Amino acid sequence: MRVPLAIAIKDATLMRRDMTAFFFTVIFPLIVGILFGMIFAGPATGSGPAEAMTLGVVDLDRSEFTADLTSALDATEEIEVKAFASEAEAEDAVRRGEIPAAVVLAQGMEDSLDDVFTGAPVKVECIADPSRGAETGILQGVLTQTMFAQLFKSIAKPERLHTSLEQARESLLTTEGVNPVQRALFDQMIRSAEGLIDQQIDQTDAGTDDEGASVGGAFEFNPVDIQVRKAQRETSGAEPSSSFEITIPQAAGWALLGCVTGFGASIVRERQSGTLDRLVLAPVGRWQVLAGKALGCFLTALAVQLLLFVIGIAFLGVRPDSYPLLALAIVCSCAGFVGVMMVLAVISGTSDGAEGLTRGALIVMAMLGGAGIPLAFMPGWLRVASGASPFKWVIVALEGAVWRDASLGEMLVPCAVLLAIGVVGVAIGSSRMKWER
Amino acid sequence: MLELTDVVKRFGSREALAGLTLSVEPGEAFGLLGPNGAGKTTTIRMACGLLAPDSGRVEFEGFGPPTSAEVRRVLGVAPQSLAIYDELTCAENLEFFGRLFGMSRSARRERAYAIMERVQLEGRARDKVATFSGGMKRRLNLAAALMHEPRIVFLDEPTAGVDPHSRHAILELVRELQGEGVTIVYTTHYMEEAQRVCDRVAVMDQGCLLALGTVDELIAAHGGETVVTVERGTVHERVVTAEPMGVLSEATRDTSVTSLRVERPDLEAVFLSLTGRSLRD
Repeated sequence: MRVPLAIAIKDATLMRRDMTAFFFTVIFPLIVGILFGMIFAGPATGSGPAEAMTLGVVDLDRSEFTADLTSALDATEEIEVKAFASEAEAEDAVRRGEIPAAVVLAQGMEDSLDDVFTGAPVKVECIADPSRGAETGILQGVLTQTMFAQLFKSIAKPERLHTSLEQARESLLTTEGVNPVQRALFDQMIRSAEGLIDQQIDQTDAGTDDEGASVGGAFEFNPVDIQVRKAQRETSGAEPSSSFEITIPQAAGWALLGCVTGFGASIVRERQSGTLDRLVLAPVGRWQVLAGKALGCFLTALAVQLLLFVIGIAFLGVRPDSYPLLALAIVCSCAGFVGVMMVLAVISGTSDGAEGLTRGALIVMAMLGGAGIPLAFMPGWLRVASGASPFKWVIVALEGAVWRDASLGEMLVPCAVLLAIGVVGVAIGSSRMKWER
Repeated sequence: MLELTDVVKRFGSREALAGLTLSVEPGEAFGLLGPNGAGKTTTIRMACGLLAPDSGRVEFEGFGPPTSAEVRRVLGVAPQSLAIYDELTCAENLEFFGRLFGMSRSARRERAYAIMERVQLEGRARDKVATFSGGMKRRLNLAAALMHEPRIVFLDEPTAGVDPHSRHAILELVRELQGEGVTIVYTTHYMEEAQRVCDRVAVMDQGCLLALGTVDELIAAHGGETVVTVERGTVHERVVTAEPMGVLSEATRDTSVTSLRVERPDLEAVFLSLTGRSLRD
């Protein structure tokens, strides 16, 4: 037992002294645990509207029903309603990524409640951000639940119930091809339905939580039809033509992370091996050496980005809204990540350590930027903190140019942030660079 | 050519160089001899401008301080570590380093092949360095230092851990460089190499210069006397003398002498005499 114990102690010591192994074994899980904990702690602790997702509402009906529905949506824990005057305005907000989805409560919506028993469900159009599927899914669920509740509250009013059943009965009487026996049976069924609704209204008044679901199941019909469509481009009026228009910008972000990892470690590796000495000993300025390193990272990142988009455009149906803006976004993204690389390169003393730290830091950065968990699920302060993640700005810039129809003015913010990250990063990296072994 | 005046360098509380003063003359092969930790590499790194001294002065006569671009152009350094790129080929490595010195494409190519021939790597020009043996890498490391035809070359333990073939090739190249008038600063802890290559040798230990002079001067001053062993059948006689030639001449006239052995003092003896320790301790 003495030998295995000696080997075990030796291995544990080696692991403790190996920066990379130590980071991934101890530090990284700690960061991930704390970060995930903070992310999921937000909604769970009921920290309120700060964590609620914003749903755009366009109330074109301006009726009592739509006002009640809007209030009910706003009263839910998950949703914070933002009113828009027109469908175009709401769609623009979705396209620009300000809100994950918007619902259009069409004119005549309240009147359509009278037809729910004749098989004509109440239709609601939902405009969704195609890149925020998880948030849209949750919003859709809450919307459905709230609409069911509001719908049954609304039709439970005696005058509306009476009108609805009368219309159903009239429809039964005027429909041709129904034999008397069937007609009598359907009439009986409508009466039964009337009785069942009365019963349900009593339950609703008693305060049960699952009124929508239970009534829907009992009647075996769906009185609410939520039609979800992706936000359309302003210029062409088309939805993102391909899901790759959403995934290629994400992939470009990950490619940048890969470039940074490789180049960040290469600077440290050169210092360790002594080749950095050779560069310094040549009759060139140190700034030229650093510029060469930064340029190498920039050009590699640029080549990878171009490759991704060329493949996307040529084979995967990606159709950027604006090629010049896409070029701007790509250049700024690469510049921003050169700055990130320079900072990470000066943190560690060994190439293994640099590689490990860079990888870990970038994964955290990506998570914080919304790559792993949608930003909407994060607590308010963490969402604010995500603004410090270059990954977030890369996605905003690239999506803006590819399918969000961003104007040059709108592109300036993410591009300026990325350029600033690049400049500050290069400045920090240059001033903190360790030239000596 | 190169002057170090009262140079002091500390790493934390440890004094790596304690007021080192020495000068290297143009065209000479100057050896820094001493055990590991003597301060040889620190001296070289400061002479090339990779390290700044805490106090004292390092100057290249006629060129200025080591960090000046003029000095960099005439300086070649083969560090102890293999400062070459494993993933590049032999030719790519040399051409890259030539490019740093502003050499034109044709000049780079021509020089790279010439230097590869000198270090006997011409047959491996297109091979990745990662596939090379330790000795081949060491030769390439030296070739990279010579790519821009420097006038002064620092060789830091250039034969450390190499096979006899590579060692021979490296020492031959150093000898050729000497013949071409290149100034060489050569660090080693192998006394045979210092004796074979260097015109003058500085013996260092623990950051201090213990002695400086030609090999003969050092031996004469610190190596002690020559031992001549005279054998007459089974009888061995050891004669310690400052005049071995006299002992030898007398012994050759004695017909009963069956064997003669002369043990001349070497740099090992010099170091032992100066420090009380062996060079390889």
